[in-house]
Amino acid sequence: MKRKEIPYKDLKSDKVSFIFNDITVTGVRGQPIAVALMSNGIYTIRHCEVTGEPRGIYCGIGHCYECRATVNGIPSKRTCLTLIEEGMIVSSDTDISYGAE
Amino acid sequence: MKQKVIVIGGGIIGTSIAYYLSKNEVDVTLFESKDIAAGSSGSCDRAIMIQSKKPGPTLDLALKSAEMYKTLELELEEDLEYRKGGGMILIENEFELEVIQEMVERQNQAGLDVSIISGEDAREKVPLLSKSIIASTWWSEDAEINPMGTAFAFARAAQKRNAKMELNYIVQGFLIENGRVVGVKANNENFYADGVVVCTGVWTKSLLQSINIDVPIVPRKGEILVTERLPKVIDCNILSGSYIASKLQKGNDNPYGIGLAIGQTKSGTLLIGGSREFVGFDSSTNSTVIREIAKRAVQAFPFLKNVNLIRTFSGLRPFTPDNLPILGEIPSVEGLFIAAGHEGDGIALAPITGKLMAEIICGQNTDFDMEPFSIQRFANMKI
Amino acid sequence: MDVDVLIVGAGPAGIVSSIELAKRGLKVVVIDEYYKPGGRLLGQLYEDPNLPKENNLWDGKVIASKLTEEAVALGVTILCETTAWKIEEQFIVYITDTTVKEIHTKAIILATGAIEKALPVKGWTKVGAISVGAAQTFTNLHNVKVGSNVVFVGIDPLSISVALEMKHAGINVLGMFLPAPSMLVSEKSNPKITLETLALASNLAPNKLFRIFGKFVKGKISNLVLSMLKFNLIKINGIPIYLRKAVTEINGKRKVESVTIKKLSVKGQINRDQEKTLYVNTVCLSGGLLPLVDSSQLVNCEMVDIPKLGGIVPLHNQFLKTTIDGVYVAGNITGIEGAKVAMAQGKLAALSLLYDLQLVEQDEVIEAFESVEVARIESPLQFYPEIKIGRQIMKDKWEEFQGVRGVVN
Repeated sequence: MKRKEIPYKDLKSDKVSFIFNDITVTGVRGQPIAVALMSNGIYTIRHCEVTGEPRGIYCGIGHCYECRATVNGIPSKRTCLTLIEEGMIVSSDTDISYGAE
Repeated sequence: MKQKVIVIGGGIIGTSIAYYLSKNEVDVTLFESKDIAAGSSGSCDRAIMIQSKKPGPTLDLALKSAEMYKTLELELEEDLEYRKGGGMILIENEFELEVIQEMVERQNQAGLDVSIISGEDAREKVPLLSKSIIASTWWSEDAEINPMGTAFAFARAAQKRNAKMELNYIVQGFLIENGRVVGVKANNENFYADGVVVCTGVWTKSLLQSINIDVPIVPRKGEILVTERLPKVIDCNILSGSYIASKLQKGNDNPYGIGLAIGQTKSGTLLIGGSREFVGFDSSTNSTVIREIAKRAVQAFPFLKNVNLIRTFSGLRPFTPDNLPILGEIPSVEGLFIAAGHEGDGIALAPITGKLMAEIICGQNTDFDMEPFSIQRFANMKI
Repeated sequence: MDVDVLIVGAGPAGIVSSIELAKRGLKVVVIDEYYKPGGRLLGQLYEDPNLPKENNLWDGKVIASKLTEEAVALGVTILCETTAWKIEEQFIVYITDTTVKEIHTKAIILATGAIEKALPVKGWTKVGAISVGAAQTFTNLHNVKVGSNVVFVGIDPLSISVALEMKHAGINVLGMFLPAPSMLVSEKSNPKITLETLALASNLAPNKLFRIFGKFVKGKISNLVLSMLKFNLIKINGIPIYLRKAVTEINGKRKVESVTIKKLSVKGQINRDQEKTLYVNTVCLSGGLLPLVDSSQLVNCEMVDIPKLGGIVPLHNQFLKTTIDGVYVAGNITGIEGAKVAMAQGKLAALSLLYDLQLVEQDEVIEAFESVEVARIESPLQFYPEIKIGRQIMKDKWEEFQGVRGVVN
């Protein structure tokens, strides 16, 4: 199948850096966290609470919750739906003490 | 020949009775209109909270039942998620403290060594508890269980002893000859037995109405919130003292009867109850009630404001006017027994109810005064 | 917030509905869980044989942004990252937005689309095993490669189309396989049923890819399908499609490293003797689509199970009215079809609602109804080949329900 040429990268180069498990990751403004991570070769987002097995993207559109992570202290944010922001702190661990007094 | 008994209702009470009857070598058939624990037993929380029970017959029963729960997993050879993590009633202000102190004194007199601990000590046990909690009760004997799992375990254990579980059978009426029950009609078929025991919780009133027996059991709805899975945050059962206190306050502004009750399941979800409403058989959930329960939960545990709810559900608890269950033979019909009306105590009281009812049905002596639970106590009551 | 109409879902059906309603002066709000409007349009990028040759690219992203612009220009409010968690009667909709917590509305259009069915092949929870929808979204919307060496499990019109899109994006697609048969997966593991489904889809849709399957199965389908299955392998644009091989396990320690492949009999039984390992870092799972109906259950719509439409769906009439007054449905919630049908249904649901408010004439509703039929014919992808029969079953069930309701009233 032939297809009309469309530019493969049509996003503006507007770089945004955030922290994922103590590593600085740079993505492009407008990208969800999971996309920025995948662009940087990071596929594992969290570990299963029961078995400890690694987990990553599954459905990519917010239905399955497999890609959840703690974002700026809020647990269970879906990284496929949450856009990256400068200085954002993303963690695989569920740290629920953030909301405590 | 073996005694034949029909049990109506596959909740935790019916399955428990079926199990203890089958242990007594009775030929048991259980009829359930849907499935095991499909009604109230499958839509409640998991607490076996004893410290808040009023001294008297219910507390006596509950203590016996709690003893039985300690060895029930071994006896049924199943994991019931039983855990004796203790229990707390949270105290937020001086008025609540006063009310709860009186309650604790009563419990101490009744032989329960419930104590009052400081807010600091409470937070030591449950670190994420709000700083607004000034004190709390503590009793190490409170426990919890998976109610649905326990009902299924009772049913399987009964089946192992040859009890028959007839699911999707709707009991339409009783077969009565010369003032004695001889069986039931279910799914347009007649089934015969020497005795019949009615364990149909909130549905008991309508079932017994067909033979002109009036039972003052009405459904009382309770709504429960379920959170997403969390790491272990709560190791014990938690109630809030505000509900207990609000009942004594003038101008009660708690129309939904909300009293916080929190526990964590084995899988990590929190079950957050609950409300108490008389709204007939309506089992829908109400957004105002959900939000009100959530608000109170966040007051007690501020971290919950960032936690997602995955589901809400409601269950109908079989309420009786004097808050005691109805247990024993129905005097006007020979061979007909009732075990219903446990309201919020059904899970806590299931083992002892099963054991006592099996003894009564088999004509054995029970070492327990059953008088307070007799249906006769309502005989002169205007319903 | 007080509105005339609340639309749940900002996909092709929902946005088109909002445009039609806003054009007639109604106050409309659309809510969507995703962070931008467009729904599944956002991932779509393919050649459409029904469009003029010189400009035949169906670029869902562009279509979505044009529709969104049009809606917004007409005054439609679109709330993204918003979930409806409860709907109470006539109608109060509770949402997760932090500022707007309730929406009071006179009518509701449910356009929630579909979800993917799980395909629980052994090892499917490993990192690198993703759904075909995720593969499509990441490739076409986010322009990110989900992996370098990829296999597909599940052969259907959607997965073939996504595999081609991924290959075009420069990803090495090693092949497409069936899932290992299990209690949960049966028809999808059957080579004969798979091929027949593809063939039916190809007959109905004039897409050149699926004509390849059509060619093999003209005339007496079954016999020719059987003989064709002897070949074991078909290639489409260089992608091998193995109709007689199944992925039985996805392997890897920390993430996907390989898949185990076994031969299948024509009836879908595994040949235990022959086993092969294929080294890949990504597996795309295609279990098919399921109407996403939770919201219709929130409003207590009567539900019916019609497998030919894709599963359990809210009972509705030809003009997309449900059994609850004031609640309408459009798009994949009514049955699994493509974006063109969803858009046409979006318009129909809006006109049906406007007709009930006496704001349009019946002719316009009929016209909208007919354009759904046209869209169906012009759709390049057919997910459920017997969709028309499914629609007829729905019509019958609606009439049956009206009959019952008539007696009760």
